[in-house]
Amino acid sequence: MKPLTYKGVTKSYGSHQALDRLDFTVHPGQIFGFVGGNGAGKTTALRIAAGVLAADQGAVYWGDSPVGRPEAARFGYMPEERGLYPKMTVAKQLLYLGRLHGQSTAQARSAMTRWTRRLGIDAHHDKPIDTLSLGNQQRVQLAAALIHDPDVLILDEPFSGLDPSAVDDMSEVLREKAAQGVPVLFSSHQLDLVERLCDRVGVIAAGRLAAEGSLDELRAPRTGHSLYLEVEGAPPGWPEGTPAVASYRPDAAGVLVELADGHTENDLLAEAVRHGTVRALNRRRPTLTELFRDLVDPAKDGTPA
Amino acid sequence: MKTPTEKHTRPLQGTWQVYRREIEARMATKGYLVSLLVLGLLMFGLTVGLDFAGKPKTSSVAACGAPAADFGPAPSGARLVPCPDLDAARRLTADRKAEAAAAVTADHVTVVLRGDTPDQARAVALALGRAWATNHAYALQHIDTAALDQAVVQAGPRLDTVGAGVGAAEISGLISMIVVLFMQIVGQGSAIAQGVVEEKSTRIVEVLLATVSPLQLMVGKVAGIATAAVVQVAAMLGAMLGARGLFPDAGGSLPGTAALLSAGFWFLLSFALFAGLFAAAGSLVSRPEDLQTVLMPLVLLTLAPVAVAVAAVQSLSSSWVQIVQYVPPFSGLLMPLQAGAGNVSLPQQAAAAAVTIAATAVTMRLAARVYRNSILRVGAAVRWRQALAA
Repeated sequence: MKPLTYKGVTKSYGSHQALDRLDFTVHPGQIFGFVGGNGAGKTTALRIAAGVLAADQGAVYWGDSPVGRPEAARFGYMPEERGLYPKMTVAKQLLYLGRLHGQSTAQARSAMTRWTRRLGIDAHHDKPIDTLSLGNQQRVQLAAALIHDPDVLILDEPFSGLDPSAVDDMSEVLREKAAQGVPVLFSSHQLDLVERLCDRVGVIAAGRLAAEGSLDELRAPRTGHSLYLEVEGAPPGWPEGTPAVASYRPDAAGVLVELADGHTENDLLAEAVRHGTVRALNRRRPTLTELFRDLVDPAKDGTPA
Repeated sequence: MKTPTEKHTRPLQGTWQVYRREIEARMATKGYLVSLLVLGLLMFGLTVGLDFAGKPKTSSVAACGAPAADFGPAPSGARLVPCPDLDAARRLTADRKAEAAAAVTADHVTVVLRGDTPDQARAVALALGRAWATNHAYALQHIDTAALDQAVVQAGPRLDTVGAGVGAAEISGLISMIVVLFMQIVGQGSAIAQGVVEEKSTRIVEVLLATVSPLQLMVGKVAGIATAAVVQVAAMLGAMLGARGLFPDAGGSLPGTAALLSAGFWFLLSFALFAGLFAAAGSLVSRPEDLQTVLMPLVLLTLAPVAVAVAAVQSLSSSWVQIVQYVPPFSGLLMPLQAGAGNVSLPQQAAAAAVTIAATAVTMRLAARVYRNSILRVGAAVRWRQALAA
């Protein structure tokens, strides 16, 4: 299996810059979660990797080869806007897509049987898509992305609109494919799922990669509000003017503090005890949601500093 | 992952799969097969029916008061009904057992008519009356009528037909048929546009474009729908030729077999010229209900040759027609018309076909560009200029 690598991928729509020199790699067997606000560029980035759109500059590589039509045919792609022929039966639809990916009719039929059974929709082979429930339509859509046993999986918001049981099935399939060595790249707004499933996460904002790494790397204390301090009896805004505090923001019953350069927790503690009784002092590891909020829209975090 | 027998999607394979799906989706349906049968029967019936409608009618005209031979040979299109006298002639005509009558009483002949006697029957009755009066006059003058007839036969007239001109009725039949074919281009072109907008509105197009290029998708779709259209036109032409085979006199006012084949060939070229543009028009909108707005200019462009042909048919040999017949899309209608009238040679048709094929290459290129730039743009309709500039 080969890695999927974005190298300087840039894309504009007229005067709007959708992607700006995007660089990251999804290694074989890795599940990579792609998060970002609406319009941040996630869908454009995934479409370029799937071969649906062309980059203005840079390229996506599969191993050493830039992704072209033959490479993209080996990828499984699930677009954000789900789409199937509404009047075509499940079986005909999947056979058609399998053949489009280069399978013979026999290979496509065998894969169709396997995946529909695996996803619990084998009873609906001969039903047109528009007679199925939304959840089952989503399962057919996933089967469409998997029908040719792809070497790379690219899924745009795969969990959107799924019921809990379908979310579990989808998660299991992604883990299974990753265990087979397939690089899995997906975007999602459901950060709890990203946190649960992904080996690595990329946060995209305004077309640029704002952060990228494993969850532990991303959540490691950085130059952010990483100390939580609760001081009983201290007036609100007590950290204001304190030399050890670079910035702070209220959080729950205390404050989140960023230490000023050259100061340690001891300096902060010494300052704090002068304002009241210190009930808590600990390092805060941000959740992905907090991280996302800080990276994507820092102006909204209410930091007075 | 990948099994050894599996292969990457080749350009032609992708196009072939799209083409195959279109054929299955459109032709393997009851609706299509029924329409094929109905169209075939309709064209068969029209061809045979036109034969009967086109044949001259036979009128019953009474020849009364004298032996039928005294009225001379019966004119064509007339069936003579003998009767004894003028009263009987009046009764037969009034009772509509005859359309008109020529009745001899003593030394003169009377022509009996109704107010609604058809012109043809009136002319026959007058001719019968005039023939009896002439024969009666010859007898009074003691002229040897046998010798007179022989002398007239020897003097003529003889028929001498020159050139290979085609009758006005045949040209009218050809125009009607080509107009029907152009209507087929509009109908099947609209089907192409609907197919494209269906894929766009159901969003399947993004799944497809992850596997095939926009050009492959467009070409496969256009070719599939074109095949369905061609089979339909072939069924119509086949039914007409079949009717001719079964009833050799059928469809006297319809064009000859060579003209039919020429019309079929030019239909294919004209369809190819417009098909890509219809696909491009479909890609500009996201909802089927917006389709009519973008199709209207294209439909007008497709039907423009019909208006030109109506003007040209007044004088197919005029100098402006000699030029316009080489210009697409007008050549699609004017060339089969000229071929039907015997006004153009095969090399002239080949030259016009070459120009149309070159124009088709240009329209396909433009259509592919518009399609590629619009097919993923969802929301408000994309303008042609925006799609070409993107």
